[in-house]
Amino acid sequence: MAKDRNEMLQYFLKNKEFITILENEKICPTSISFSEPSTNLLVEAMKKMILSYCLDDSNLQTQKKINALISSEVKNS
Amino acid sequence: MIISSISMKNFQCYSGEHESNTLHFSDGLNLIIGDNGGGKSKLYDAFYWVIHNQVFQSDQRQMINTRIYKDNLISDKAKADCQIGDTVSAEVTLIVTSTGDKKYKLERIFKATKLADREWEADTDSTMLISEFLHTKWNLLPSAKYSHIINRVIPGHIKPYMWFQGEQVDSLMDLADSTALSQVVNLLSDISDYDDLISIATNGASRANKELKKHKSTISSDEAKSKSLNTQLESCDNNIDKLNNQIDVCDQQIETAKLKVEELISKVDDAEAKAKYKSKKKVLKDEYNSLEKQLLNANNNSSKGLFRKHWVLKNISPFFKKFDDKYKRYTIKHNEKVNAGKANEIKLPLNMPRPVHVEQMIEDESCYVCGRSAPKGSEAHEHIISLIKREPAKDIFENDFSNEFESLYNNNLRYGVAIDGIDESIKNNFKNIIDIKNRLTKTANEIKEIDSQFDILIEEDKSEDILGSYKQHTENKEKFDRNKTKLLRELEIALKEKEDIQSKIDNLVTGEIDKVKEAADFIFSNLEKLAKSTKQHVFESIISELEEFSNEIFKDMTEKNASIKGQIKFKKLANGVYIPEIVDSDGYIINSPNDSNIILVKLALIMAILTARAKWSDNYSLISDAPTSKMAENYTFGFYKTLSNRFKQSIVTTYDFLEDDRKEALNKFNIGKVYQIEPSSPAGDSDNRSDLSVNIREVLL
Amino acid sequence: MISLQEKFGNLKPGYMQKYKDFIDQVAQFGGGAEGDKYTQAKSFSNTYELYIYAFFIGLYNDKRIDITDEDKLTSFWEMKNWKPEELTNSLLTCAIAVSDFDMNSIEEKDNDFISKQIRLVKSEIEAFANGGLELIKSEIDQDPELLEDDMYFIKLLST
Repeated sequence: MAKDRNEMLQYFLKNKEFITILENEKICPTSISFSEPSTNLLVEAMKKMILSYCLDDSNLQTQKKINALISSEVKNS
Repeated sequence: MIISSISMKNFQCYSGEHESNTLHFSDGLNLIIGDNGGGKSKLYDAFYWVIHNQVFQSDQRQMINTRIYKDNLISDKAKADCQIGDTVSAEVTLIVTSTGDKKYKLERIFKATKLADREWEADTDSTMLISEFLHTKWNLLPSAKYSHIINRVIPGHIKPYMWFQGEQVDSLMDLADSTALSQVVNLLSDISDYDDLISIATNGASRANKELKKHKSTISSDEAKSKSLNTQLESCDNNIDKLNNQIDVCDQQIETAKLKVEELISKVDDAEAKAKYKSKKKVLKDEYNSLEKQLLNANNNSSKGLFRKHWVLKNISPFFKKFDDKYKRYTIKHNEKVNAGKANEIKLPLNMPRPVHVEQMIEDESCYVCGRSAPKGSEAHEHIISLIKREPAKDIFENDFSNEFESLYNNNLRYGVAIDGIDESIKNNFKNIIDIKNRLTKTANEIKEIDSQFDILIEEDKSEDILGSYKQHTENKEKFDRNKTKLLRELEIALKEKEDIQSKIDNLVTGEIDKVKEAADFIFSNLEKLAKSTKQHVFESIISELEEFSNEIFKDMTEKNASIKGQIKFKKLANGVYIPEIVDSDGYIINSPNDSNIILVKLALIMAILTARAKWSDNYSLISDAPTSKMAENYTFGFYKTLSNRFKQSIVTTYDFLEDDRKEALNKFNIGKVYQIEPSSPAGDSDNRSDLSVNIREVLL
Repeated sequence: MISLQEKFGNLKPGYMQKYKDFIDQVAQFGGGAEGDKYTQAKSFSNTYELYIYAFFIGLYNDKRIDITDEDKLTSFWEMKNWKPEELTNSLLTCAIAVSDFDMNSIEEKDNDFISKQIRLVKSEIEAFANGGLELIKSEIDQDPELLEDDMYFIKLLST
């Protein structure tokens, strides 16, 4: 089966634990998509993880991409 | 792909050429009706052999390979008719049609040469040929393409659910096997993708955590101590992992023991008494649990009451009085100092009475303290006005703490009334707790009483094994429960220890922590948690979808049978796995000795798997040998109806509808082709296998 | 300007080493989730809760242990972190009431004098709290079963 990143994202967004985190950060789950950048680092990191995985990147590549994202976001903040 | 036809040449009992052993199939339910020993299973063998090069050996009840079965594959009649030195072959040809209307021919051939009367020189293995029909003729495909074509006829991973014999159904879906449903979910979905995500996040989290630890060590005020603490932390983590694993094992043991106990209860003869016991016990258990919760709450509340309801101030009055006296003495002295040398001596502290009240007194021209009137211009009126016009005394005290002391005094005043009610409040709380405790004891005794009645019920039961096993499994369950409690306690201690070590490490840190490292640790550990819980969420939604489908199918299949009232429930065990059960309307397991129920459930489950998400039922043919063999006759109708409605094509051998008057019922199904097969021995000796062939007759409805 | 509240708030009264195990046994160190308290069989969610309780038990039973320099007390949170605040204030008033703390003099004298007076209150708090701890601990040492009773600490108030 092909890896469907949108389906995966939707499953993450239906996860109660994630919904609670989003509620605390005052982020509406329906506002999250691959096309709309979020100001929340965790949301962006999760999107990066799904994207990279669905592009068939290796596990290490995926981790590196997430690390790069964290590093640039923290330095810019 | 859909199967268009199968033909056999000298394959087991199907002696003779392809032409006389051909069956054509169309969409819908295709039936091959035959009596026992009529060649049904050998036909199923033919399907299986073409694709998998194996046949079912009934003596050993297992599939065996051509390399072992050898010339037994060849019809005895063909072998008997063969001359020494001649070669004879067993062949099966399957013609399949793809959705794009492409036709493929799959042939398997096995040859043997007769050396002497009972001596054969056989090929070491069979040969497979696959051709594609193009324009006007069959063109042989290169063997590299074979596995692809075969996979389109029946993919390996769904074969067990799509091609099966009636007697396999039981083992196909082992309801007691807690991993069975997980396997199905893996099969049905891309859930393994989430395992990959978990692995990415877990590795990332572990790296980020290591990095952060290392970083904290380098900015530690005592690097050696940090290092040693980190080593301690690591061993603590290992211990926590170990304990968590042990708890998992324990959970599994508890579930197994629980299932065994349930199973044994269902074996007790007196079904009515058993049912009564169960429902009564359930009510009491629920009540007991709720009381336990109430007691926990009450106890929690009462320990909170010490502070929130100020019970701790129970005997405080004399000490408050002592403070009041001291405060009074202080105020007198304090005010004496403030007013020293002033002609118009006001002994009240500043802002006392409150300015808002003083203003009202001036307006009303009356003193609220003594009640006398103070008309404008009078001395009394001037005196009241002087109350607000006061300035704080300057430089009289090194420090003026009067406001702070006053606020302490007021603090105690506020408690005054509440303190009077403390005795009553404590009394009520005690009463409530004693009351709950009494009810708990009463309920526990009732449960005990029911249990002992149930023990008697079991003791009176005919079989001693049941009593022994019941006691054994009950004891086991209790033992595992105790073990789990012990492990949980150890885990709690280990977690606390971990927290302590972590805070010691953090305390040693001097200077600023690298924000990127800190963020990476936070993000990855959260991603790990989220990936894990999302996988669980996906798993649970597939499970519930499957449960819904199974019940829909189960309902369809049992529509005509009022005696079955159960439904399929996927029960979640403490260790997170699900097992399918049939339960009655109250949620109790129906574990009836009547096999057909179980078979129906299993078939409903299999059909649910095949018709759910991937819609395999639309793309592949279901082939089954006597699926209703273990099913009571009155359930078969529902089964066939469901099969014919929900599967694009099914090919089923059966002895149902053998009698002509029963064939009428077939018109109610979405029926494909129907054949009747029967063995034929022209010389009249039905035991003589070298005279055996099969007559195939299409039944026209 | 000197604030008494601040001075009292910064006090860190302590307990004697010999009560440490007992404190660990009945109080959650550094707090934690309130819900966990009962399941962990701890009667107090914080060390300061137990300390406040012990103070009042000592006070009501007139059980005091005069602390000397050799006692080397273990201290924990500053009083300003104790909750509820009103209860902490009541405890202060009691300690002020029973001590030689001179409310008038401190308004006239210098910082040193004030500090000495504050120490008087602290000594009083420590004397009664440690006295209370001694009283509770010796009762429990004699009969460890007492802790099995969820109501023990409430009942103790009435004896």
